[in-house]
Amino acid sequence: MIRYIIKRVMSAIPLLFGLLTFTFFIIRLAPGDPMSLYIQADVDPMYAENLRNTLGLNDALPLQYVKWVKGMLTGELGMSFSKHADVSRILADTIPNTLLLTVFALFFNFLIGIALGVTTALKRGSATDHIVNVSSLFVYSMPEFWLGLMLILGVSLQLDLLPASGMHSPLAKYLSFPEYVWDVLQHMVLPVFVLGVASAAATGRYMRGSLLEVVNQDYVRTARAKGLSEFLVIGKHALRNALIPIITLLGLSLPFLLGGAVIVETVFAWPGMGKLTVDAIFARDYPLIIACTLVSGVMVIAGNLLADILYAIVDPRIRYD
Amino acid sequence: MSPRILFVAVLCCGLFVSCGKKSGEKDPMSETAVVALSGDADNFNPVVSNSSTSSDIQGNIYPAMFDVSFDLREGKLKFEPALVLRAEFQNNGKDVVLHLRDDVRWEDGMLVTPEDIKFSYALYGNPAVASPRANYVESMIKTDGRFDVDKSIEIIDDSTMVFHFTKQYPLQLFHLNLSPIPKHIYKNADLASLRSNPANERPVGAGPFKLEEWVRQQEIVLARNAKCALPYPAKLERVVFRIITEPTTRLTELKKGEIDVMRPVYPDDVKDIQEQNPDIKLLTLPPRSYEYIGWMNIDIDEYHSSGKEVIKPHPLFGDRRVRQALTYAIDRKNIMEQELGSFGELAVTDFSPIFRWAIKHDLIPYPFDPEKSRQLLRSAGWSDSNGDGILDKGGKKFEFTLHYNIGNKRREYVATMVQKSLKDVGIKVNLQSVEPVVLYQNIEDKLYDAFIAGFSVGLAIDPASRWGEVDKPFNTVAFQHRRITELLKLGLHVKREREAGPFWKEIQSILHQEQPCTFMYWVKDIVGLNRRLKGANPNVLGVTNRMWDWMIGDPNTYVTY
Amino acid sequence: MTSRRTSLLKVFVWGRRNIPGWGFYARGSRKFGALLLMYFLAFPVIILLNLDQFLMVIESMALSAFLLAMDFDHHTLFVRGDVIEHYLATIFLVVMPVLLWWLNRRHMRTLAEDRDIHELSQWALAWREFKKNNIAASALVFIILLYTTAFLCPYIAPYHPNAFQDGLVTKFRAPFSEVTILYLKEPRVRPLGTEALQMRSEYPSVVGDLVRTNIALTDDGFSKERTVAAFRVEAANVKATVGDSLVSIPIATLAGSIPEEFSGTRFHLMGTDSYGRDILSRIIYGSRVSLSLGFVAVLLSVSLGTLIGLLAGYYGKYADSILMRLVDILLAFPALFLILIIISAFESIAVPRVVLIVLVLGLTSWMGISRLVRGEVLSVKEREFVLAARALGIGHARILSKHILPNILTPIIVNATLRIGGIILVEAALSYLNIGVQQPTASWGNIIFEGKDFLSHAWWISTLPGFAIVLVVVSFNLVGDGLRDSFDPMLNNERL
Repeated sequence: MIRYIIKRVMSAIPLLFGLLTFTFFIIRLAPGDPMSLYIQADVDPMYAENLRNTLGLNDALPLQYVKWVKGMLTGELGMSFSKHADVSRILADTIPNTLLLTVFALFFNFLIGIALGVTTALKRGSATDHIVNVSSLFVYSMPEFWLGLMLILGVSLQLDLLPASGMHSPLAKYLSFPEYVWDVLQHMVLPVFVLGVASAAATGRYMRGSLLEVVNQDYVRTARAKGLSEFLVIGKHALRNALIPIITLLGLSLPFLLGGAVIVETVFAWPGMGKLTVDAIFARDYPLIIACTLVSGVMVIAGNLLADILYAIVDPRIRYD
Repeated sequence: MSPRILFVAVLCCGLFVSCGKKSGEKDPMSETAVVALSGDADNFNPVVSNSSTSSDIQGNIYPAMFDVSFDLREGKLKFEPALVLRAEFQNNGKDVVLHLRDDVRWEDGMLVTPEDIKFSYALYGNPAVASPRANYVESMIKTDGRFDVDKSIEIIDDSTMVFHFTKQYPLQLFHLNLSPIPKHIYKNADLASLRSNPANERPVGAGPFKLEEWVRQQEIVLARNAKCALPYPAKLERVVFRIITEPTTRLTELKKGEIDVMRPVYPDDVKDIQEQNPDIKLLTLPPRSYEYIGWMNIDIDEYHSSGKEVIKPHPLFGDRRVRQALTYAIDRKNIMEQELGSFGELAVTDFSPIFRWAIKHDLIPYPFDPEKSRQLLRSAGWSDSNGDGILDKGGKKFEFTLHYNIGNKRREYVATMVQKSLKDVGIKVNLQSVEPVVLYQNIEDKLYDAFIAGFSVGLAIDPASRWGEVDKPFNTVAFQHRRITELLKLGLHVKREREAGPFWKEIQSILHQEQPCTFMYWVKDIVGLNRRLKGANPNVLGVTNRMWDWMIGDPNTYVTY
Repeated sequence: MTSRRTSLLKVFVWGRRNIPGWGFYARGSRKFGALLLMYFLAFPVIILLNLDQFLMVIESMALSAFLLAMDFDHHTLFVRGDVIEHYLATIFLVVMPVLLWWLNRRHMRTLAEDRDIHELSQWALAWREFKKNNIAASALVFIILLYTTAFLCPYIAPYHPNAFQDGLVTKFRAPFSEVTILYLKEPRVRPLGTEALQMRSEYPSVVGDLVRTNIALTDDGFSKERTVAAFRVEAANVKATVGDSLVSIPIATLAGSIPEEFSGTRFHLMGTDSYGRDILSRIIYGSRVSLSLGFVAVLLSVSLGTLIGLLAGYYGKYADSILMRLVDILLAFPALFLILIIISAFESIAVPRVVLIVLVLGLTSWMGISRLVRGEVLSVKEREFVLAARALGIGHARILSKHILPNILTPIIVNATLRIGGIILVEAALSYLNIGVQQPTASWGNIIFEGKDFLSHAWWISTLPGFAIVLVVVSFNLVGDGLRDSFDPMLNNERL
């Protein structure tokens, strides 16, 4: 198992490197001078030129690439052009927030998705089944920013149930710890819902199909025939096997959630790296773009790896050598 | 590796990252104002920071040389003592002697000395640093074309220093108002990487506020600096700046009373806010920025292919009659009212109405008159000879592409209106929206025939950057006029600001006549303030100007602002 | 009596053969037949309702065809994009019913000739299954209607999508509101230079007619109208409110002398946006962009994905590992970032933004399909018929196209249908990030974006196109599900 993990991690490295190289070149194709955000246009051009030389922007592209590879190998992510700070410090501020949001959305996705899937599968053909199916389809089909704005106006402004934006109330750090957690949780409800609900609907649909397939298999019939209670049959035998294909979804839904985080973070003023990435792209902030790519790449690959490991845990038939 | 462990781990990691110490005081919000911002700060080192958020906040953290205000009645800047007690002009105004306070201390207890100021100016003018404010030292002494800090700044004693300029000019004091940074913190800093210096994120200031916390993309918390020795200590315990990009979200928070200050409020939302929350007061700021449609005056193909040597009139817009016709053809008043309601003012030229004394009041804005426009175009030789509905001359169609920045709905509307109105006089306009970073660079490099842009004027009149030489980046339409060049020289060399009045007025007449671009309108920003915030006085200098006067009070006692 | 009966019978027989739907209805496919019949009849109804416009387009097409043949130089001057849009709609309006008629007739003939076909193809079986699924079938009907609307938008939209006269008067009108208009005697702007053109052509009267028809066709509806907030008659003038000001208009310039003659209203079923443009018309025109964008991008990504999947799966070895590595790299990247970076990189290239978006969306979403196809190919290529074909020495290209591809088409089609909805959602997200379809062209995404800042006081601008997106995406998903179920009878049986 350990060997397998090491092998997977090793094989992920060239993958990441390819991804970063691709990003490195394609973003430099984009028109636009990162320096134009640096210096007022009426300042003597000599200053901007000087800065360009310092930052190596005047070097030939291959040379820039070599320098960048060298920086990468030494763990040097460079300085953000638009935020005027070390990229690593900017990311240190924002990654945990995006992680918090995404991980909660992921759990929301799977908990709600599996619950919906099981309910609808068990009550197949009933009114509940149809209502859940149809409504999950609708949720699945909404543009995220639109849903977010509707919720802000409805739930937050009209009903005044939940805060509309931010990660916590101003000066929340003066609250006691439980109060602080409560405050953050309240702020998380809407963004997590918007981010997770579409994938939850999808998961629910997969889960339903998967469970229905399993329920008719021989071992489940055998279990029933043995006279086990329906709860045990479903909970112990059917569910475990129905979950296996769902785990694959875990790896697949991460890039989807990270992409969605861009929109959700903007709508709900959530201080994460999704919004940061978009700003960086528009500002031609090369080092920050590359770093964000690196982070999201690592997260996605880690997610896939995690899914594979879970696979092994849930399905003992699979052996890794 | 069960999911539960992962869940808890991530929850904890997320929660602990952003929570520090806690204590059980009284509700801190009763002493805290909340300001909504649309963008984050980049850093808090005034030498290198470039975002408007940073400059708004730095003004309250760092000691100011002067307490600057803008007198609307007179239309000029006023400099009152802050770090500088008194300024004297000597040697025909070329030397400025500053008498400084000697009791102001940095947060860490060190005194603010002339050494700090000289050190800061050395950084501002150093090409290796490449400060965005490097133009402030432009008129100080130079050696070999470079700013020479030792010749420009002379320290007499612990509370006196002299700045040497090459000439006397009205903006001298303004250029002396750059914030000093503490030398003892930055003295060993590597200049080339000053922008990513960690000290920029933990500024050591001496102003009325200090930075308590900064969480990127989220919030900036300022706390009162109890040790501030400047004449204006802060009254409020804390000010929290929250970064909320999405306008609808920001507006929701304002309506809910979660934020106290918001700028800008869109004119379309004004009625809605007034109906939904009577506790929100809306104020209008005097106009400092205008929108214009730039018509390139020179033939850019010739210009660029000749290495910026050959200056020929633009095939379409090189003719004054054409430019006038374009202004006549566009219903600027209608566009303005539709976009800004009553929060705009038609622009005659680029001289802001806030400089009352310099404004030539008898210039009448071009009215909307398509018939007149057609006449002018005809007299310039444009007619529709092939019947396709588009004017032509010598086989060339009157067709061009109008560039504007992506995502700016106001400009998008203007672009659509221009396209529609010019179609009526026989001109074909293609629209192209461009990402801002690309748009501004290309405008300054003079790569577009036509574009929509805005311009924010400084606090003192400075038409030279706009209407000077063709290759200046802010002369975006490459307009040059012999008389204006003369007038600029005359106006910039007067000793007192007021003496330039007649020259500026003549420039306005010429601009009005020539229409180097179509000046659209001045925008008066609207600020939303919650009534519980007292003492706030948003003005030409910004919303956070004189933030030290802010107080939180009972929303039911109505104080006139 | 009998002769009348026989003639009636003849009509029936003729009708069953020639009127699409009738035959199906008579043969027992009641629902399908009725729907087809209604759909078929909708075309003549639309023509009749817009007869003026229809004839005008026909005239314009005939005139420009004539000029094209005779006078090649000048026709491009006045046949422009917005006219061609009318041509396309009209061609569709004529060709579609003819096509339906022909298909129906052919089908009826085969039925008549060969009554007992027992061996139905896989497709026919699936179609039979699909028709049983009421929900999916209704979703399909909805999608067909939408695509028809998109083709016919110049005939169906009540107003020109980009037309507005005076934002001060018409912006932010709520749904079901009416805007007062005054009819003018003379057009506000006289078109330029028709005479000059006529003089230069050898066929002055033809040119004159063509220019006049085209001007009438592309008129945004405001050339002889003026929108006002309110008005009252004062002596020889009409005092009209426009924004905050009162405008005086001499009655002599209006088309009539009493208010009943010179004033009227424009009705906005879904209200107007911040410019004052009719939202219903924009949604109808926007459907054209959004739907075709979804369709073309998916076509692109499915073709590319299938090709790469086929190559990787069939040739294996290096091809497989290189291609699948590429897939891994691209999949490890949130698609939205990738799309943003690529659009920024290629924005300066002189193609319309819509085309760029289609290309980028198409070229960044093929990875899933290629994995799927590769998997299918791996399983199919070891089957007997492929091995046999190989043993016979048939070329790779032929094996791939004739033997492998047809056998893996089902999952590809299902996947493609499910994807179209996703692409429409991505277009909306791109609009939110400012790099969507450029104004004034309407797309559903950019209508939502245009209105999102006004949500709190003009909810309808963003909400209504939002509903449109939801409905369409739901429909595509329903159809996709339905297709999957009908292609996979195993699952279906198990459902029962």
